[in-house]
Amino acid sequence: MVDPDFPLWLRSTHLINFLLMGIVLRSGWEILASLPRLWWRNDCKPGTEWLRFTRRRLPKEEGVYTSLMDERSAHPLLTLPGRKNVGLGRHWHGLGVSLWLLNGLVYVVLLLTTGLWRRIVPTSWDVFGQAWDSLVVYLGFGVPAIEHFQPYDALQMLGYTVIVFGVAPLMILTGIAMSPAVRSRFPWYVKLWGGHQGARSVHFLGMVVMTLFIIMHVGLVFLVHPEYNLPHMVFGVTDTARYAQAFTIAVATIVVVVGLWIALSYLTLANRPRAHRVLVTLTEPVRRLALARFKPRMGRQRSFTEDDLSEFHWTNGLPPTADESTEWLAHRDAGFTDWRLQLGGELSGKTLQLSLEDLQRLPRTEYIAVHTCMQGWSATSKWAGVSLQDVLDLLGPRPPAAQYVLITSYGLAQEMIDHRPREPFYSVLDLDTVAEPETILAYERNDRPLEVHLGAPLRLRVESQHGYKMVKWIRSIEWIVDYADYGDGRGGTREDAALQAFNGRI
Amino acid sequence: MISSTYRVSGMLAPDDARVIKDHLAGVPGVGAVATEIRPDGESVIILKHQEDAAPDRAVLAAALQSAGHYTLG
Repeated sequence: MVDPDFPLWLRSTHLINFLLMGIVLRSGWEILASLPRLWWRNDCKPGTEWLRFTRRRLPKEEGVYTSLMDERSAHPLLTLPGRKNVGLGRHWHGLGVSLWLLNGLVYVVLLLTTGLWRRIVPTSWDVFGQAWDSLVVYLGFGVPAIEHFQPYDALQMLGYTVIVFGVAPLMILTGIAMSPAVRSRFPWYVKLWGGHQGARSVHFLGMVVMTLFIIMHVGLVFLVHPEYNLPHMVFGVTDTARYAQAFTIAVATIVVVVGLWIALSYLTLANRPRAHRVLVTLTEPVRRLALARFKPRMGRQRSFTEDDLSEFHWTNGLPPTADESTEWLAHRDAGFTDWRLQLGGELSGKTLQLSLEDLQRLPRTEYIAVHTCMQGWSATSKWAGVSLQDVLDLLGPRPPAAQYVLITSYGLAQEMIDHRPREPFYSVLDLDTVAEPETILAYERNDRPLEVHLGAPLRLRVESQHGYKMVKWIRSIEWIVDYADYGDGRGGTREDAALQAFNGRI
Repeated sequence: MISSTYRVSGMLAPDDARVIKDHLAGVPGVGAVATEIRPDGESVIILKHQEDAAPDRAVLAAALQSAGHYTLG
């Protein structure tokens, strides 16, 4: 007969949780490997990190080193998917977290509604003294007597309560804080965590606690009264006679799950474009449901002020060189006096040539915002420029067939997915993103003309999204029908060979 | 910044390119590494660096050797 303390739903949610935690943790390590440094500051100035997992020394000078150079290649046995695939790692993280949240919600609701919460949530202060007694026994390499487990002992209860109602929510809250869509809508919330880097560091510490807990939790199952634990877990019964059977099934299950984690890595790496298609299909509805309605309001926010401006701003992609654009180099050497933005194209039936002065005569938009890269670095700046919508309006009404805007750079992509000769870096925005007031063409940063290494003379700012959408050294802007017709058809040539999502809101 | 392009023997597939990039990322003075495997079979690395800080060819060759059976052309 099934022990009422170990019903099927409890055992099922645990097994699903085990599978999903592996996906979430391993993809999280992939993301961490893409920038193996952690900061508490409002920027990521080299040498000021509080923890790093790399021996590489960074130049102190801005604009001479791309953040991709700091990325570490992790083995597919360890991370998901491994081998420098932060885009795919982020997709797996998003999918894993979405399912983990759903599973966690089912678990918590059933825990509360069935009354089984009393098994893990302490209801007496005595729990601390009892937990201390248990800890002393464990530290002496002993095992508390079976009578202490009703069905859990005091130390377990405290541990479960902290993890389920403390660490797990902390991970969710800090994970959300790293979304640009959330930050651009609720900047005070990100400030609450000490900014993007504060949230990232707390998220990391939570991950460490969670990982240690899982190792300890699973380990103790096999070390402390396994003859009771394993029949409880596998069959939901208190029957030590079934220990051997339960042990075999538990070990086999763990082997299968670990094998599945590793298989996911190699399956992903075997065909990265296919993995990208599948993962984006699965995760995009969640992004749309959760974040699409968050419209930025950086122009009205007061959480980030000039006191928060960063000392240091990383970059991904260095300025165009002679093999990329001699035209841009000539403009740079001439102080961009003859530079012109090419606006329009086939769909508009005309192309306008706009100088910087033309753009500066349009209504000015100015705000302080935090830039975040998919890798994890961030920097706070005061940006000034002109709304992209205002610039597009110069072309007249939107062509009826136009569904997207294509922004192209003078610079080349850092890498093509098949390592073919590099093509111009570009990004595509949908109509909703174009309409956001904080989607601008920036020509100033911190009250000075835009620096060369950050995109001079004109760059895109899309405050609701990560930096990979923001084209630097802009050459042209035009309406298009469908981004599938350009490049590899993913809406941009990006720092990880375009395996990021088209929607960069998280 | 300027770019310097070098032919590389032995870089035939994406995995080669990844390993080479890993090893060149630590070479002093290198700000960015791009790899291209061209249709004519030629493979090149393009390094971005400051004009007055060109990477030492011997250091690059050593980095390639440590990455595997790759040599500067």
